[in-house]
Amino acid sequence: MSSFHGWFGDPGIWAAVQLPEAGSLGVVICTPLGQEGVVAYRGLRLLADELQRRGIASVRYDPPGRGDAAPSTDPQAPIQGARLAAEVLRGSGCTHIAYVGLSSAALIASAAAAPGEILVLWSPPASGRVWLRRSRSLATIMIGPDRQFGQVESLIGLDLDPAQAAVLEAIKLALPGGAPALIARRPGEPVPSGLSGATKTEVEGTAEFLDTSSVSSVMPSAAITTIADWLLAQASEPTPLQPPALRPELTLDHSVERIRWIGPNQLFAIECTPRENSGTTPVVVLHAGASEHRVGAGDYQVELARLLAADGVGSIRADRRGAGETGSVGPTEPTMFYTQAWLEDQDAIVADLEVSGDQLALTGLCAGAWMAGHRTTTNPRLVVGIHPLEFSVEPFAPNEFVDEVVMPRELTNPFMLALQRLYRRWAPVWVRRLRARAAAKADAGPYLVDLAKRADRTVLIFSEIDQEVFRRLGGTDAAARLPGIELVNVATLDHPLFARQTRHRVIAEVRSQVADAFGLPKPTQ
Amino acid sequence: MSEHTYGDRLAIREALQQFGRLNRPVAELADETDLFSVGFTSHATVNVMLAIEDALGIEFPDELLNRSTFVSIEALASAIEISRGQA
Repeated sequence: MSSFHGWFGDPGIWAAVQLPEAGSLGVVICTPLGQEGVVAYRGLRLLADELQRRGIASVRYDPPGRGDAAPSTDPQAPIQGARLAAEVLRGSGCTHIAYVGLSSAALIASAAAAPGEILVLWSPPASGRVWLRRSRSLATIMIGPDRQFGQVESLIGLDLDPAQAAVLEAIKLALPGGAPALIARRPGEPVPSGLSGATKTEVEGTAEFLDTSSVSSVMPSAAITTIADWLLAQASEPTPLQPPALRPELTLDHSVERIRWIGPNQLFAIECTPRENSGTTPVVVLHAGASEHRVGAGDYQVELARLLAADGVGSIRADRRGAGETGSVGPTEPTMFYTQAWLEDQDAIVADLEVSGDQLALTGLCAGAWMAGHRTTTNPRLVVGIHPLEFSVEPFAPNEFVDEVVMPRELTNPFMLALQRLYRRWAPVWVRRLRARAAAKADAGPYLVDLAKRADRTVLIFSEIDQEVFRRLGGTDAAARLPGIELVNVATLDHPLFARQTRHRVIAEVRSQVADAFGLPKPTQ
Repeated sequence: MSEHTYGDRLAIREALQQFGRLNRPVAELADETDLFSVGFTSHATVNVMLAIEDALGIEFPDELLNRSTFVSIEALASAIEISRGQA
C-alpha cells in the first residue's frame, strides 16, 4: 500500500493519494466544508485505508482557498477542486471515478460528478439552501454577533463571501446518471428529492462522528465498511497504477511550503518559509487546538503561516499523534488530549528545526497553548498561548481528559478567600506542584513559574471564557508577579476561533508579538 | 393549555425524541427541565429547531437563535409563539 502527498493544478489543491498496486476505481473523497472537514478528517482517512485494502485508489484533498491548498476566492473553487482531484486519479491510471461526499461535501460531490461517474452521498442535506440555513443557525447560536465581519460571514470554521454563499445555496442535489449511486443516510433522515434512482441504505454513527468536536468524535466504522463494500461491488478488472503527479512544494507570492515527516513517529508537517530566506530566519511552531489537524479552525494556522512568511518568518504546522496524517488510523484510537505523547511530539518538532532558542517561537491554541508552554528541548525566545484553558504541569494519560470546559469553583467564604490569597502569594513552588498534580483543575501558578523561567517572553491571549478560568485558577495574580508574561484579553466568547473576526484579531496579535520578539519591522495588518 | 399550545409541545417532544440525542427519555422530562443538563448540544439544538420548523411550517427568526431559546420545552414553546407572531 502506498500513499503520496503534495500539490496539484493551478491554483493547486493539496492532495493525499492512496493507491493499491493495481485497480480500476478511483474515489474522490470530497472534503466537508469548515469544521465538519476538521472533525471528519481521521474518519475519512479510515475510509481511504478501507478502500485501499479493497484494491481501490482514493484521493483526499483541500480545494483551492481551503486548508493547505493555494489561496483562492473563486466561488467555484470547491467544485473545481473535486474535479482536479479526479484528474489526479485518472493520471495514476484509474479508469472509473467515484465521488464520495459526507454532509456538506455531498453538495460538492453532486455538483462535481459528470455522467458516468459513481456517486456516494453520505448523510446529504436536502439542498445547498437547507445546508446553509442549518449552518447559519448553528453559527448564530455558537458564535453570536461576531459571525459577521464586513462582507464575510462566518459559519463554523468556514468564511463565505456573498458570491461563495450564493454558489453553495444554489446547489440542488442530482444524480449524474449513467452510473450507480448510493445514498447512505442517518436513521430516519429523509432522502432528498431528485435522488430516486439511487440505492438507499441507513448507516449508524454519523451523528456521533460529525455533530461534535474533534476530541469527542467517534469513528463511524460500520458506516465506512458499508460504503467501502458498496464501492468494491462497483469496481471492475484492476490494471496497474502509477504514482500520482503531485508537486512536492507549493510556491506562493511570499512563501514556499514543503511537506516534512518528523521524528521517530513520523509526524506529518508542512513547513512554510519566506521565499527570500536569509538562512537565519526565525521559526514559529504552530500547534492547533483540540485534536484538530495542522490547518486549525477556519484554517487560521495556514493563514498565519503565510502572513508570517511575508513578514520574513518561517513556521511549521504539524499533525501530532492522533491527528491528521500522522500515524496509522484505527476504529478505536485513543484520545491523546494533553498527553506525554504530545509533549514528545513537540520535542521532536523543535529538535528537527535545528534552530537556536533565540530564533524560536512556540504558539498554540487551547490544547496547543498548553503544549507551547511546556518545557521542550530548546528554550524559546517567545511563547504565545492562544485561549489556554489547562495549566497542568503533568500530562494526562490517553483517554483521561474529558472534553468540556469546567469553570473552576470560586471561593466566597472570607476565611477561605484569605487562605487562598496567602497560598497564592507565599506557598513554595514544590507545594504548588504537588497540589497541581493532585487537583482536578490545576492551579495555574506552577505552570506559569516554569514558563517564566524558560521563555524570554510569554504572551497569553484570552477570550472571555478562558480569561475567567485563568482568573479563577489564580493565573492573573501569579502572572502579575512573574517577569516576561503579558496577558491580552479579547472581548469575545469565540474560544475555538470559529469567527473570522476573532481569528483576524488573534492573527494580528501573534504577528505583532513575533515581530517585536525578533526585532522585525511591525507588520502591516 | 390551548389546543394550539398542546400541538406545539407535541411537535417539540417528537423533535427532541428524534434529534435531541438526550440522555433521558423525552417522556420523563417536565416542560421546565433544563435540556442542556440532559445532554442537549449546539448541533442537536439546530436539528431539533429544523424539525420543529418543518412540522409546524414556521421559521425561527435570527434573534431567537441563542441558548435560552433551547433551554426547555417551555422556552421552545414560547419561541414558536414569537415565530408565529413575526411570520
